[in-house]
Amino acid sequence: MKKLSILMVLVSLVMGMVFISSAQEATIELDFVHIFSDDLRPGVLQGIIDEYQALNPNVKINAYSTNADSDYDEVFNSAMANADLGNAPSIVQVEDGLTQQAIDYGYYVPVSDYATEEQLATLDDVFPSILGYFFEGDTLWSMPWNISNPVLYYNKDMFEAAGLDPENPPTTFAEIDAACEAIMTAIPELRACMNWAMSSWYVEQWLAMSNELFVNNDNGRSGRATEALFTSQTMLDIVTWWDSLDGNGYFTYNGRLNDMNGEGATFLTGCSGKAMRGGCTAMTINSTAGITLIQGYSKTLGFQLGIGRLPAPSDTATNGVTIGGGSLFVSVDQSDEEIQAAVDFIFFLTNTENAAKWHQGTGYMPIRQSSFDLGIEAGFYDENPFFRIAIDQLSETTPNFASAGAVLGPNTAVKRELLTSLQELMNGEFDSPETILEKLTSANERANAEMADYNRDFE
Amino acid sequence: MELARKWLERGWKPLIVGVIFAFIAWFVIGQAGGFATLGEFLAGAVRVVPDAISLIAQYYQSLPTGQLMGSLIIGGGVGAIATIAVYCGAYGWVKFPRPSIREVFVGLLVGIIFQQAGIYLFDAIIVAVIAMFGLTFIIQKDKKRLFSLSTWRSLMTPSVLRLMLMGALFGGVAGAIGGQLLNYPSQHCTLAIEADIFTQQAGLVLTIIGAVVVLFPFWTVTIQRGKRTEHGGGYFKGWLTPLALLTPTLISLVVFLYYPSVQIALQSMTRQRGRQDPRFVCLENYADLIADNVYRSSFITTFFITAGIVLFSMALGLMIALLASQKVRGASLYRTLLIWPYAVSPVVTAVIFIAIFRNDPNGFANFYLGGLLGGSQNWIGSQTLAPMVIILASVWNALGFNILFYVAGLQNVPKDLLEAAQIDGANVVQRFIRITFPMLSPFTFFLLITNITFGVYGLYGVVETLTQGGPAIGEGAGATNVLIYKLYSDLLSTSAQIGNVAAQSVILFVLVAIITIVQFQFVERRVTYSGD
Repeated sequence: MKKLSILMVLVSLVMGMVFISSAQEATIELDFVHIFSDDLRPGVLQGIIDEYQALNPNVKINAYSTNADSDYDEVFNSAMANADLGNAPSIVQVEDGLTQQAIDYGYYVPVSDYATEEQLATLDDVFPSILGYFFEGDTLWSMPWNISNPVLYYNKDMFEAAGLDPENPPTTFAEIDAACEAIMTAIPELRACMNWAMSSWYVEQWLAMSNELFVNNDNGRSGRATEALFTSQTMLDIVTWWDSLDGNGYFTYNGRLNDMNGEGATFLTGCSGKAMRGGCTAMTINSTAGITLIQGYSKTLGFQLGIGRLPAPSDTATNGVTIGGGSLFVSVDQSDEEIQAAVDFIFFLTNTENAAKWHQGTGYMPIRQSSFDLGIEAGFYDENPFFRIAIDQLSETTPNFASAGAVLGPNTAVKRELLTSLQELMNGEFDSPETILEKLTSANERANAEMADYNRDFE
Repeated sequence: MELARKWLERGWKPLIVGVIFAFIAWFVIGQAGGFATLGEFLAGAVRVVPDAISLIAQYYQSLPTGQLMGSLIIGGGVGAIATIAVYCGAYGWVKFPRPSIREVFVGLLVGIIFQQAGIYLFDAIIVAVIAMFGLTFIIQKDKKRLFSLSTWRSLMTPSVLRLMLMGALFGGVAGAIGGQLLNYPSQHCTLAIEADIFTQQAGLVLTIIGAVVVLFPFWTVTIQRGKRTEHGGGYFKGWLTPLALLTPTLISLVVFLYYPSVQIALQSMTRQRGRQDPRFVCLENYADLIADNVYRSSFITTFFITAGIVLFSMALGLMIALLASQKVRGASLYRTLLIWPYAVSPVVTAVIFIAIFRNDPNGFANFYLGGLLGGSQNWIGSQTLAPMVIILASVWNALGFNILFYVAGLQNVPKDLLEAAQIDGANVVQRFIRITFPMLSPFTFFLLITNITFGVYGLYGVVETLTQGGPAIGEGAGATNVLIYKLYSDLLSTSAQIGNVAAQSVILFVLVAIITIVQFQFVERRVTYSGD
C-alpha cells in the first residue's frame, strides 16, 4: 500500500513536470527593460503590449524598469550584468549616446539582421534625421523608440507679472538675459530665473545649432572620435554666457548631474512664500518627453504653462537641433525564435498607430511621418499645440554632421569630464575668461585621454 | 572547548572525523549533482594534470632564453644570499640589526626627501631602505655585529661553512623555483628587454616576492631539522583529525577567497571591455594608474580621511569606554546604547548626516550653528568641509565597535595593580598612562588594524550617499574620492575597463597588506599581552 502511494506521488510529479515544460514551450517570454518609473509612461507602453499579446497569444512581454528612479546608465549596466549572469533581458532601451558602446560591447544583435523585408520597407517612413542616428553603414543596430529634443518651458503668470509678452518666449541667449532681468526685478523671491539639468545634452544642442562639432572626425561619424572640441570659440561663447547667467544669479541647478526629473520639479513647485503660483524658477529647459507630465502638474498647481522652442545662442545659429532619447536593442543571448519575436514586437511598438499613440500619450516625438499625419488628420495638434513644437523644430534642422549629433564609445565618461568642469564654473559667481578656458582645456584633455583609452580596445 | 576535548579523548575521534568528511562529501556531491558528476569531476581533475604539465613545458620551451635566465638568476641569487643570511641569524652566528621605529622614521624621511627631489619613487624606496638599515648598522652595539672582524673569523669553521654552502645551494634552487611563482602567470613579461623601466623594476620585486614565498617554508623546515628543537607540541597526533577539522574552512577559503583573488590578479594584467576576449597587456594597467592624476589624488585623499577616522574613532572610543565602565546605576544600559550606532548601516548613517549637513539654512547643523557662527555653510559642497563630514559620519558609525572592545579591555585590567598604584600615591592620570593604557595595548593594536581596514575598505556606502566623491578639486579629482569609492564607481561606470579596476583592487589589497605587516613588525613589539 505504501509503495503504491509513493508510486502515485512519483507519477503525478513526473506528469506535472511534463505539463509545466510543455506549457513553457508554448509561450515565448520576453523581458523588456526601460527607464520609465513614473506613473504615466509605463501605462501607455503596457496598453500597446496588451494589444500585441492579444494578437500573439504565444508571446508574453514583461516590461519593467530596474528601480524607482532608474536612468539610462543604470539600465544599460544592469542589462549587461544580468546578461553575464545568464539572464539577459530580451529588449533593452539604450540612450542615444550609448549606441556606439552598445554596438562595440557585443551584447546585442542588429535589428536589421532579423527584420523581415516588409518590416524594413516601413523604415522609409521614419524621419531621416532620426533614422540616420542609428545606422552604422547599412546596418540598423537598434530601432529608435522614444525620441525627443529639448524645449523651453516657461511660467506665463510670471512673464505677465514681469511685464513680458507671455506668448513670445525668448528665442536667443540675449533675449533670455533681458527676460531674466525683468523677471528677477519683478519677482525677487525666486531662487533663480531659470534652471536646467547639469547635462551636456543642452551644450551639444547649442553647438549643433551653431553648426559646430562636439568631437572630431565629423562628430565621430567618419571615423572613431579621438579628440574633444571643448575649446572652440563657439563652445567658449556658450559657456561664458552660461557662466554670466549663473554669476548674475539667474541660473540654478540642484547640484546633481543629469537630473532631468529633479529640475522639472524645481520649475514646477517648491520655494514656498512667494507671491506667484509655480516653482522656484520662471523658465526651464527640458526634454519634450516631459510635456504630458509637466502640463498635467501645471494644471494641478494652477499656473499657466508656456512652451517655446529651444533658445539659440544667436539669431545666426540656425543649423537646428539634434535628437535625444532612446532606441531598443535586442539581446544576443537568446534563441533565434526569441530574437525574432523581440524584433517583431519592436516593429509593432513603432508602427504608425502605436508611434502616434506613444507620442500623444507621452510627448515623445512620433518617429514616423505617417504617425504625425495621423495626428494632423485627427486634429490632435489643434487641441495640443505644444506637441508640434519638437516636430517643427526638428523638421527645420539642416542635415549635416553637426546636427547629426556626436557618437563616441566612452560617451558617459567623456561627458562626465565636461560636466565636472562645468560644475566648477557654475558656482554662483562670475569666472574670468582665463578660468573658463583653463577648466575647458582640462576637461578636453581628460576627455581625450578617455577616448584614447577606449579606442585602444577597438582598433 | 573543554567538552570537545573530552569527547575526543573518550574515543569519539573516528566518529567525529567520519561525520565531518561525510558532511563535506554529502554537501559537495549535492551541489555538483550526484556521484556520477563527482566522479567525472575528479577524473577530469586528474586528466587535467598531464595537460597542465605539458602546457607549462611548452610555455618554457617557447620562452625567450633571456627572460627565463633573468627569472632564474634573480630568484636563485636571492635564494642563495638570503638563505645564508637567515642561517647566520637563526644559528646565532651573526647578530643582525633590526631597525627600531626611530630608524624607520629616519629612513622614510630620507626616502621622502629623495622622492620630492624628483627621484623616481622606486629608487626613493631603495634609498629609504638603505638609509634605514645603514643607520641601524652604525648605531648597533653588539658583540656579534656584522661589521666586526671577530664575527667573520668565527664563521670560518668547516661545519659552519658546510652548512652555509648547502644552504646557498638548496636555497638557490628553491629561490629559482620560487621566482617562477609570480612570473609564470605574468608570462615573464616584466623581464622582457623591451619592457619599460617601471615594468622591469616591478618584475624584479615580483620575482623576489615569489622566491621568498617558497623560501620561507624551506627555511622553517631546514632550520628546525638542524636545531632539533622540541617540536611536536601540538595536541593532535597523526594527520587525519586535524585535516578533518580544517577541511571545511580550507574549502570555503579556497572557493571564496583564494580563487577569486588569483582570478583578479590575473585579470589585472589584461584589458577587457564588454564581451571582448581579454588581451594580455603585462603591467600596463598598473602603469596607467600610477600615471593617472585622479588616482594619485585619490591616494592622498584616502590617506588623510583614513588617518582622521582612525585617530578620532579610537581616541573617542577610548574616552567614552572609560566613562562607560564607571560603576554607575544603569551602566549596562548606557553601554548598550553607546554601541548602537555600530548596528546602523553606512548608507543609513550617511542619510542621517545628510539631514544634519545638507546645504540649506534649515539643515540641522546650519540651523543651530548659524546663530553661533553666523551664516550657513555648504558642508557637503565644500572642498575642505566635505572630507570632514565623511570622517565624522564614519567615526560615528565605527565608534560603537571601538567602545565595545575597549569596555571589554577595561574589564580585564587587573584591579590589584590599580589599587597598588593608588596606595603608592599615583593619581588618576598616572594610573591611566602607566597601567590602564599599557594593559589595553593588545586591544589598541587590534583596533588599529581593524580601524585602518575599515577606513580603507569601508567607506563606499557613506561616500556614495553623501558626496559621490565630490566636490571637484580640479583636474577631474574629487575631495572625497577615496580609493574604494573610485574602484566601485569605475567598475559601475558604463564603459568600465575590467583590467584597470582589477589592478585597482590588487593595489588596494597590497596597500592594506603592507600596512598590516608593518604594524605587526613594529607596533606589536610594544604590545604587552597579559599573561594567562
